[in-house]
Amino acid sequence: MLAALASVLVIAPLISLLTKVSWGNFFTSVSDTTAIKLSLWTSTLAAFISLLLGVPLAWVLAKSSNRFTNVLRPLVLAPIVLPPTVAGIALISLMGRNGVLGKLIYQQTGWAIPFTSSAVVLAGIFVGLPFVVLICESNFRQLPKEIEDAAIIDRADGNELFQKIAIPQSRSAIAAGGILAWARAIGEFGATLMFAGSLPGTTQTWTMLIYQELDVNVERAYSLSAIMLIIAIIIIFFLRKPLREAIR
Amino acid sequence: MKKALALLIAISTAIPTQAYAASNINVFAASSLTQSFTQIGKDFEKRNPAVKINFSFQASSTLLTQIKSGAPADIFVSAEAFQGGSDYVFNRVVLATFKKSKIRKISDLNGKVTWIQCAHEVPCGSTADAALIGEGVTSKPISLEPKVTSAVAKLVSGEVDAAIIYKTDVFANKNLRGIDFANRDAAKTNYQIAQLKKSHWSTKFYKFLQSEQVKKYLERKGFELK
Repeated sequence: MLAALASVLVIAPLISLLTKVSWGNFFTSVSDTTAIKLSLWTSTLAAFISLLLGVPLAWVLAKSSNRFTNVLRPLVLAPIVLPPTVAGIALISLMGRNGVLGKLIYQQTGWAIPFTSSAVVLAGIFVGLPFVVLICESNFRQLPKEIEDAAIIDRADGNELFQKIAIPQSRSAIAAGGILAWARAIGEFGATLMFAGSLPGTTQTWTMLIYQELDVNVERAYSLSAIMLIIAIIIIFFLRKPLREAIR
Repeated sequence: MKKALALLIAISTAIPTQAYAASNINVFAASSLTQSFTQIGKDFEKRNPAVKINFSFQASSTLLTQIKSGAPADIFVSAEAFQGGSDYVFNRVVLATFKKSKIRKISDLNGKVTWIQCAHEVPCGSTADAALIGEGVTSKPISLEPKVTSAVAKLVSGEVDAAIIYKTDVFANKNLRGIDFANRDAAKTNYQIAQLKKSHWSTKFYKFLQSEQVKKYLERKGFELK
């Protein structure tokens, strides 16, 4: 009974979204793919950078437990529970034209990151990277000790342990972390709007376009939402196995 | 299982099902009215302690969408004309910059400056589009903001050099200066008001909003009465 109620609470809005889409005009209503393309490439880049930086960080956190890492861990995981608007303000405070770091860059080069596609990517990394760290650290901690010990006996150094022993055993976790980071980045709205603005082709992402279109072209907003939903379902389908393995 | 169900029912009965109590009224207003209406609302509440006014400030087009899908608005004030609305006040878009800015005329936007405006879908954006016609501006805005207040925030925080916002936003900010567009008619926007739901307090506040006193106050804030 409760299980059924839980299912209905989640599934009913999803199904009704799909019934409201006017499928006859589906392809004409999403023919302009500028925002979709922007979202796809910025979130993919954000996920890739998140993996590149997040996996080594997860390894450091998994392997060393001292006062420093104990402080570092909650800090790098914080964006997972941070409201998007707070994330947006945090990013502006650092990288805005008057930001702590952004001011320096602007004075030296005349360039500022807000309102650029780079800002969209940076916002994606900020919210996505913590997921990579979360999943990969717990996975690294669960790797069987014996293989690592054998490698240490064979005089493997820390780098080799990470690259040749830990990473090959963690493909599922890394994939899961990457996909979660990607999904979080492509769904980002509030932080991106505050930090990057909204300009078609440069910073107007898929989610931003849906928000804007709801006022003027409901049909298009529904069609754009439907694609997002379908992508989400596909992601979850492929994520089942790696997620279960990563957080067993 | 039974306990969980009972708990769930207990929780759901505790959630207020009515969006507002009888002495609460919901006013949906264009985001350009945020500052002045907040003050007017406080003033009204002070005279009438029994009433609580809840404001929702968003882009007028966003509010209209919400109202059409059943949002419980008692009064709606839009920054553009809408079906069933009657004329309220007028505002105009200007090119706003910092007082110390080198931007002195509209065509300075073609220089090495960054500027933003509202999205074409919202009133402050469509009015800006109209006002820009014939000004010879060939540069493009670096962002199309979903509502005027977010454009104002980005200008005030110094993230951009200029923004096309309302004259009233410039009035509210000592550091800003407004540059008028040549086509004053195109830059002008007609605010409209409507009472969507009748109740004692809704009617009272609706009348208060249209009183001489409030209109005078809005005029001091940069709105125009005709």
